[in-house]
This record gives sequence, structure tokens and C-alpha cells, in this order.
Amino acid sequence: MHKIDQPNRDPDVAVGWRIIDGIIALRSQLRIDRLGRARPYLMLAPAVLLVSLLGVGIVYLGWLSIHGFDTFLLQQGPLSLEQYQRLVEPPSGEFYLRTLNRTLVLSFLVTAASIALGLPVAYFIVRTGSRALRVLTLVILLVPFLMGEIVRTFAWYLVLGNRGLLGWSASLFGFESGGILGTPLAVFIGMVQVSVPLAALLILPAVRRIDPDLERVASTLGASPSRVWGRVLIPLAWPGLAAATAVVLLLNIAEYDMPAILGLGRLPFVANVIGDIYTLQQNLYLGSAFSLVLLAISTSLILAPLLLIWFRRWLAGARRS
Amino acid sequence: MGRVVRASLALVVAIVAVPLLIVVIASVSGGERLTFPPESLSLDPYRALLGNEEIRSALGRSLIVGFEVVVISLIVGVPATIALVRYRIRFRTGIALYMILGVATPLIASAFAFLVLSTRAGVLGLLWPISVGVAIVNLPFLMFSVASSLASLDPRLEEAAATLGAEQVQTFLFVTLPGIMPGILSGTIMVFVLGISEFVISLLLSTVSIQTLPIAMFASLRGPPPPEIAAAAGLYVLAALMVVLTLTSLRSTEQFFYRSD
Repeated sequence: MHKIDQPNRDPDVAVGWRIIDGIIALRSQLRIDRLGRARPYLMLAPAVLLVSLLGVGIVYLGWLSIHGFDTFLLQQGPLSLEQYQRLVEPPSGEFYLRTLNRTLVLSFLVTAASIALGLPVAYFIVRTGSRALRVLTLVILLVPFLMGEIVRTFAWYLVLGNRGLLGWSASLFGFESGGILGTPLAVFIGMVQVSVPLAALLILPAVRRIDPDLERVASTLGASPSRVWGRVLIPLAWPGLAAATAVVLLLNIAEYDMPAILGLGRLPFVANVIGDIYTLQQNLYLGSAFSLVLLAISTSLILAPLLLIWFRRWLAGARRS
Repeated sequence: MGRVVRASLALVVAIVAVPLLIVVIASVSGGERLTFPPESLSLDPYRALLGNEEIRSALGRSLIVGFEVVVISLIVGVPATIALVRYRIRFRTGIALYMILGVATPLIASAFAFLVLSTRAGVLGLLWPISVGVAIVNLPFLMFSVASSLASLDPRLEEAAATLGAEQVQTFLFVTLPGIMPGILSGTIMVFVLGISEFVISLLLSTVSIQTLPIAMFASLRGPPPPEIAAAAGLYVLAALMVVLTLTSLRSTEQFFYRSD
């Protein structure tokens, strides 16, 4: 080799360039440039195919849910609405509907509490003058989100259980407490721990878009703090509140661990019952039907606030014109 | 700042942080049973964790799932995000909405869909279907992260590189990739932690022989929890804390949380 071919003394860099030259040569051999307009679609294809596994799975749920199931032979039966009937009609329907009802009521309560607590927290993060406090709050909020459902549940088990923090604190004040495991309150508190941070993080961008001068103007003109919140902040944060409501609700209605452990299994949610249908009855058909019912409910719950926002915009537009 | 705001902030911080502290305390407590306050302080739970063959192999399986989820999400998610953000494509909104299908479906319904598919395909009882399912459900987190990095990378930089004679490969390797690296890294880390702590999909898809760590922990919570479970939970809390600190230091915290809007 001539010296002129190796102007760069660093061998690693030279190797790096060779590899890149190789890739370029390979690309021109494969004529990737010819793909032209098809290229972005080819880049998307693997992701679309992967997600389609879930799409196909959901369609398959639908197919299974409209079949009968022979519990004795464990075989697929003929086409029928038997599974859905079992979910709503006596004798078993009462249990399933009560479960659905409990799931929805507790989820709505948790969501309401999360929005009510998340809004002031988001407001604090946006408006606080101290950068350190803001970062600290954000870090604390994000940790429960990443540590996983089961660890959060375990943590509350230690706090609320009969030999836990709660019982100990009660004994300090001279009370005897066996813990509150098995009550709706325990499940509620456990679910709030992850819902509030999620709500706060989702409300954050909406609050950040509110001009602080608007609050100042309102209070200069004599509005009480509660009036500033009710008439200025909440109406302006409205899109964030709607989005947070939808996402938090969606997360909560699929809750599994908290009812199973903190509710001691006495207050099963839909997810627990679906799990039991599979493990105890081996009935994929009934499980499919119940999963789809939950999916239908959650989809309409997500779409509701979106439709509401769209409707308000449409109204505002109609008024203007 | 009003009194109500301060009071709600204090309440939220207490609800979020107290259980974390309790887990960490429990993970370094001595004695046969977990009680509060602990009988003594010791590293016995962590020793028990290392000594418990079942829990240790469950931990190994969870790490494998986390790793597989990262590989799948990166291979599939990064090109797709670049295509969605940088190219003119038809049905962009529709495709973007389709990508979040896994997040928009209640987790138990997705898990059941994966269960019926795996049963049908005869792959129930293997580890990789769990990884695929978890990757699908968490793909949006990686894509959001990469997309926000990509959105803040000026496309004129890439054009300048191309104008100055860089091949497309070089432009990608030396301009685009370094530019979106923070997004890829934070997305990867997030998807990994979500993968190792995933519960509901593993619950339906795992059999006794392939229990992941969260499933093993769940099973042991039916009775009084043994100390090694506290150690495992302590590890998860520490991992989550480290991840959050890494995420927030990769880009300035405000940038990470606020995104570009």
C-alpha cells in the first residue's frame, strides 16, 4: 500500500471509515435508493406488523366470545351469544355485573381524587420559583410509575397490614388497629399512589400554557383564590384535565394487584375475575367476552372526553361565525 | 402559593414516598417476619434472596424479558418513529394512533388477547411470547421518547450534512443518530424497567416453570411475605430511583417532562 492511502494515523478511524464505505457499497448494491417513496412505509412496516399481533388478538377475542364452550369436554361449541348471556343473566350474571360495577365505581372515585390532587401538584411544579423543589417533586412522582404494580402493592401491604406502619402508628396513639386490608379504602389508597403522579404529569403541559399574568389580573381585580381557580385556572387547564381523566380511568379499570392483595380477594375487579375465569374454569371463551366488554367500556370512556372537547370547540366556532 | 396547594402537595408526596421508604426499610430488616418497626437491621433479606434458587431464577427470567423487550422495541420502534416524524406519509395520524393501541387497550384485555393467540399458536409456556406482548404494550413509551428528541433536532442539520456531500449513511450515523441518542437512551431505559416489572401479561402467559420475578412475588404474597420478597422489592425501588435520576440527567429535567409543545 502507498503511504498516500493512509493519511490518517489512527487505525480505528480508518477501520470505521472502511465499514461505512462497506455499508454505502452494500446500499448501492441493494439499490435501497430506488425504494424512493416506499421507504418510510418499509420503515414503519415492522412496527405496524408487531402491533397487529395485538390487533389480530383482539379480533380473535371477538371470534371466541361468540362461541359456546362445553365445560365438560373443554371443547368449542357452536356459534352463540351464550358467553355474553352468562355475563348478564342469572345465576352467574349478578356476580359479573357486581364486579363490573365495583370496578367502575372505585375507578371513578380514584380518578376524581387523582385529578383533584394532581392539579394543585402540577400547578406547584409549574409555578414554584425553586428549581431544586421542582426537580425533586418530579423525581418523587415518577418513581412509583416505574417500580411496577406488584412492588407498589407490596409496599402498601407493608403499610396497611396488621403488623405494618398503620397498626404501629395507631398503637402510638393508644388505638388497637388490625390494619385496613380487605376494605375498599385500602384498594383506593393503593390505586391513588400511581394515579396521582400520572394525573399530575398529564395536567402539567396544560397548566404550563396558562399565562401567570391572568391569575394576577384576576386577583388584582378582587377575585378570591377560590374564584381564580374556579373561573381562570380550571377552565384554562380543561384539555389537560380531560386527557388526564381518560388515561387515569383507563389505567384504573384494568387494575389487578391492588384488589387481589390489598382487598384480600374480597373485592375482585374485572381483571381478577378474568384471570380466575382462565385459571379456575379454563374458559377462554367467557374470558374473551368479559375482556371485550371491558375494552368496549374503556374505549367509550376515552372517546367521551375527546368528543366533549371537540363539541366545545365546535360550539365555540359556531358562536363566533 | 396557596395553602390548599401546599396541603395537597404534602399529601401527595406522603402517599407516594412513604410506601417507598417502608419497602427500603423492610428490605434491610432482620427477623423471620416483616413487621414495622423492624426487630433489627440487617442485610439478611438480600442474603435470603441470593440463597433462594426459585427467586433467583425468576429474577434471571425477568432480566431476559427486559432485555428482549429492549431489543424488539429498538429494532421496530426507532425506524418507525423516524418515518413518522421525518417523512411525508399518508394516514400519518391513523398510523400514529394505531401504534398506541397497546396503551389504549386495558392491560388485562391485551393480556387475554396474547393468551388466546399463544394458546392457538401452541407457544404458551415459553418466555418469548411474554417479551413480545410486553414490547407491544410499551412500544409507545420508546416512540414518544425518540420522537421528542427527533422533533427538537433541527432537520436543517441533516440537510446541511447532505449538502456538504455526506452519504445518507453518514448523515444518519454522524448527525441524526447522535442527535436522537438521548431520546433512544431514555426510551430504552424506560422500556427495560417496565419490562422487568411487568405483571399482568406474565400472569396469564407464564406457567409455573417460567415464573418471572413479579409473578413469584405475587404468589408469595398469598401468605405472610418472606424477607427475600422485601429484598426483591427493595431492588425494584432502587432500580426505579436510579432510572429516574438517569432519565432526568440525560436531558435537563424540565425538557424531559415538559416535552416540546
